[in-house]
Amino acid sequence: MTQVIQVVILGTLLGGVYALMASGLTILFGVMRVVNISHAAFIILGAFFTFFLWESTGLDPLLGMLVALPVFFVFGAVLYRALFPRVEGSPRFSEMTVLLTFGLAFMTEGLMTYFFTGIFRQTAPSYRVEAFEFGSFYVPTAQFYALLASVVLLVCLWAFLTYTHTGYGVRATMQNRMAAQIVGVDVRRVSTISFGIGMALAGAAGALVSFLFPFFPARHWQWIAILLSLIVLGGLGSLKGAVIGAIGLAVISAFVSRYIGPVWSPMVFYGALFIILLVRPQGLFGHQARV
Amino acid sequence: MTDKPLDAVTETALMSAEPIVVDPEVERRRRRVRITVALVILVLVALLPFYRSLGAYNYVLQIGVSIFAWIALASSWNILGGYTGYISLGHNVFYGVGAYVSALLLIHLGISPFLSAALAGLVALALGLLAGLVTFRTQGPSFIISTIALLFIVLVWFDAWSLTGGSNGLSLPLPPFSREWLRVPFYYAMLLAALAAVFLGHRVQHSKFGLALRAIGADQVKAEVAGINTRLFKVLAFALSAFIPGVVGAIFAYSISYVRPTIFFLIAVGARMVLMTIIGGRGTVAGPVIGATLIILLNEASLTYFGATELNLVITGALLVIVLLFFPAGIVGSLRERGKLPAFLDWD
Amino acid sequence: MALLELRGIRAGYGIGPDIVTDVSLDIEAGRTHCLIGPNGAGKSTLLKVIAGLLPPRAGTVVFDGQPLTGRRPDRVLAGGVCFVPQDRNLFPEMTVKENLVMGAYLVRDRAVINNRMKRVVEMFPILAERSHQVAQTLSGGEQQQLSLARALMIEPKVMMIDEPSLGLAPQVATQIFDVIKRLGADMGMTLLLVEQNVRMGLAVSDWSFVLDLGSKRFEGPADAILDDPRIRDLYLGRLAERRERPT
Repeated sequence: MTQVIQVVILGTLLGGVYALMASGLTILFGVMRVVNISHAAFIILGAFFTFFLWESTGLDPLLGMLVALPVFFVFGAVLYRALFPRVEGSPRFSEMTVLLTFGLAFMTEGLMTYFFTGIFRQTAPSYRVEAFEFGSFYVPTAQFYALLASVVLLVCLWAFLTYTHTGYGVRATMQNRMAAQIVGVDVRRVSTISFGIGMALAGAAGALVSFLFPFFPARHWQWIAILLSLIVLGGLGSLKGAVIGAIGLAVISAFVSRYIGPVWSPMVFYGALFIILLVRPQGLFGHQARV
Repeated sequence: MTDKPLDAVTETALMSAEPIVVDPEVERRRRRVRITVALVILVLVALLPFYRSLGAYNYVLQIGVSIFAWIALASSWNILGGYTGYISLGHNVFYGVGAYVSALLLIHLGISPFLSAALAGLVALALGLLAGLVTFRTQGPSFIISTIALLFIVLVWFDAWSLTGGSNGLSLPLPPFSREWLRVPFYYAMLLAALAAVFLGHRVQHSKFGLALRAIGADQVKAEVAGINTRLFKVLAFALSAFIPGVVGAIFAYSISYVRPTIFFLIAVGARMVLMTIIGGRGTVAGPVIGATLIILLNEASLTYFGATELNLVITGALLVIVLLFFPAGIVGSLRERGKLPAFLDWD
Repeated sequence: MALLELRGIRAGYGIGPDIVTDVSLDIEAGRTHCLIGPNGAGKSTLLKVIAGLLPPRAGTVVFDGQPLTGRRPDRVLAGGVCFVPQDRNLFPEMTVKENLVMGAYLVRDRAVINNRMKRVVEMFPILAERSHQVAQTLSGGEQQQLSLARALMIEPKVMMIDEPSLGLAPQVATQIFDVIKRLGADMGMTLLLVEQNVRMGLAVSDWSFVLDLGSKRFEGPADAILDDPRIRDLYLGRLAERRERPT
C-alpha cells in the first residue's frame, strides 16, 4: 500500500509538469486552431535557454524560468506574425498548421543540434538530488518545486482567462471565433497574445525540464507525441481536459513504469488515445462539432 | 474552424465540378509527348545497370535504389494524403512492419525477402485496415495526431520486443549474390515497386474510387450527402496506401542486411514521405515522383558537401515551411495553376 | 445622404468565384430594410462584407460619411454597425449573462454595461430567468433572443440580422419578428434584415432590396414588393431561366 501511494505521489508530481506543457498547446489550438507540433522542440529550447543562463551566471533554473517567460512570449508573438497570417484563410487550416509546425520542429531540432550538439545536459541546482521525507514517503524536492511552479503558472493562466478583459476575449475566441469577431474582439491581436502565452508556457516548462530530466534536442519527439496524445484525449481545445488527462495518465504511467517497466510507460499515453478514440472520438471534454 | 475557410472549400468544390474545356488535338499531342518522354526515361533507367564502366557503379545504383524506394513510398502516401487530404505522419509504420516481417521470415524460415515482400505488403495492408478503423473515428488534426501515436506505439513496442531484437534490431543473412552484382537485383526490385506504386496512383486517379477520395478531400459532408460511404473509402485508402510501403520495407531491409527500430520508426522517416509529396504536388501522379527524386538528390548533395545530418534536418524543415507558405500546391500543382505544366510532367 | 452606402461591392471566398458581383444600395436611417432573394443570391455574403468579416474584392462601404471598407470587424462594430449572423454564434460554454457582457466587449465601463444589461433584459424577460444558464442549453428561440440581446448591448446604430427565423418553430419565429418590429418601428433603429420567409420579413420592413445571382435586381417599398410580379418570376421562374444561361 505504501508503495502504491508513493507511486501516486510521483505520478502526480510529473503530471503537474505535463499539464503545464499541455496547457500551452491547448491554448494555441483553442484560440487559433493551430496544432503546434513544434511545442516540445520549443520546450527543449527553453531548457537550453535556462541551462546556458545557469551555466554562465549561476542563475537558479527556477529564476531562469522568470526570465524565459517574457523572452519566449515575445518570440512566440513574433513567430506568429511572421508565419500564420499567410495561411490564415487557407482551407483545412488546422492540418496546414500541423505541417507548418512539423517543419518548424525539424528546423528547431536541427539548429539546436548544430549549435548546442546532441549531448545530454541538465542543470544541477542543489535541490536536484534532495528529497523531503515524511513518514514512509518521500517527495523529490526538484519535482516538488516543478509541480509548485506549474501550479502557480496554471493558476495565473486561469486567472488571466477568467478575470481580465483580454482573457475574456481569449476565452470567447476559443469558444467561437466568429462570435468573438462579431462582438468586437480583435482576434488577430488575441491570437498574437495567445501564441505568445503558449510559447511562454513552453519556455517555462523548458526551465523545469532543465533540472528534471537530462535533455538533448531530439528528445522533443517523444514528448510531443505524449503531449499531443494528451490533448486529443482530453478533447482538443479543452484546458480542463488537458490538465485532468495529464495528471491521470501520468499516475497510470508511473504505475506501468514501476510494475511493468519504464520502457512501457509512454505507451500509456498512446494506448489511452486509441482507447478514447474507440469510445469517445471527440475526447473526454471535447465537442463533436469543434474538431 | 471559422466559417470562411469552410465556405471557401465549398466554393472550390463547386468550381472544380465545372467541366474544363480541353481541345482534343492539344490533349492528344500532350499525351504523345508524355508517353514518349516516360518511355525514354524508363528505358534509360532500366539499362543503367548494364553500363558497367560507370564510375562509382555501386554508389550510383544505391542512389537509384533509394530514389525508387522513396518514389514508391511517397506515391503510396499520396493515395491517402494527396487525395483525401488526411495527413498521416506515421506512415513509416507500414514500411517498418513490412521490413520486420520479411526479415523474420528470412531469419527463421529462410524465405527470400524477394518472395516474402508481397506477404509483407499484405501484413502492412491488414495493419493499415486496422489502424484506419480506429484513426478514422476522428478527423482533422486529431487524425494526424492519432497517426503519430500509432507510430510511437509501434516504436516503443519494437524497441522492447525480444522477437524483433529490441532496440538492437536484427542482422539478416547476406544476399547470395556476388559483391560485384550485389546492387543490381535490388535496383530492379525497387524499380518495379516504384513503377507499381506510380501505376497504382494513376489507377486511383482515374477510377471512381479516386473520384470518391477527391470528393472527400474537397468536402467530406458533401461527399457523404452524395452517397459516398466516406468512412469505408477512407479506410480502404489507408489500407491501400499501406501495401506498397510494406513491400518496399521488405526489399530495403534485405538490401542493408539489418533492421533496427531507428531505421524505420523515426518520425523523420514518415516526414520525408510527406515532404516529398507536398513539394512535388499533392494529389498528382507526377508530384511524389519528382519530390522523391529531388529530395534524395538534394540529400546526397548535402551529405557530400556538409556531411552533418543536423543540417539535413534544418533543410528538410525549412523546405516544408517554405513550400507550405509560398506554393502549397507543390511543383506540379503550382505549374498547373499557372498553366505552365510541361506535357511530360502531366501524368494525371 | 444615406446612413450606410454600398457602392459596387464585389466579393467571394478564398479562390472561389464571385458570390456578389456588383451591388450598390443605400440604407436610410431609422428604416427597416429587408434583403430578399433565392438561396445563393449573396445576401449573407453581403452582410459579412459590411461587418468587415469578409474584405470585398471591389467597391466601397461608407457609413455616416466614414469609409468602412477593409476595416477590422471590431472597428466596424465600434463605429456602430453590428451583425447578428444566422447560426446565432453564441459562446456555448458561457452563461447568458456572460454572453451579454461579451456583447459589450468594446465597452470597458462596468456601470454602463450593467445599465444596458438591465434595459436589454427588460425586452427579453426570458433571459433574466435563464441568466445563469449556459448558452448551449437554451432552446432555439431563446438562443435567437440572446443573440439579438447580445447585439443590442453595444447600442448599435445599424443592426444587420441574418435569417432570424431560421430553424425556429412558426410561433417562436413570430415572437422574434415582434421583437424586430419593436426595434424598428417603435424604437426607430436602423435595421437590415435578411429573411427567407419573405412574407414575414416584408411585413416588418419599410423598404426592400431584391438580390439574385450576386446583384441587385430591384428595390422598392416593402408593401409594394410583395405584389410585384417580378418576385414571382424570381422565385418560380428562376430555374427555367438558369437552364438557358450558360454558367
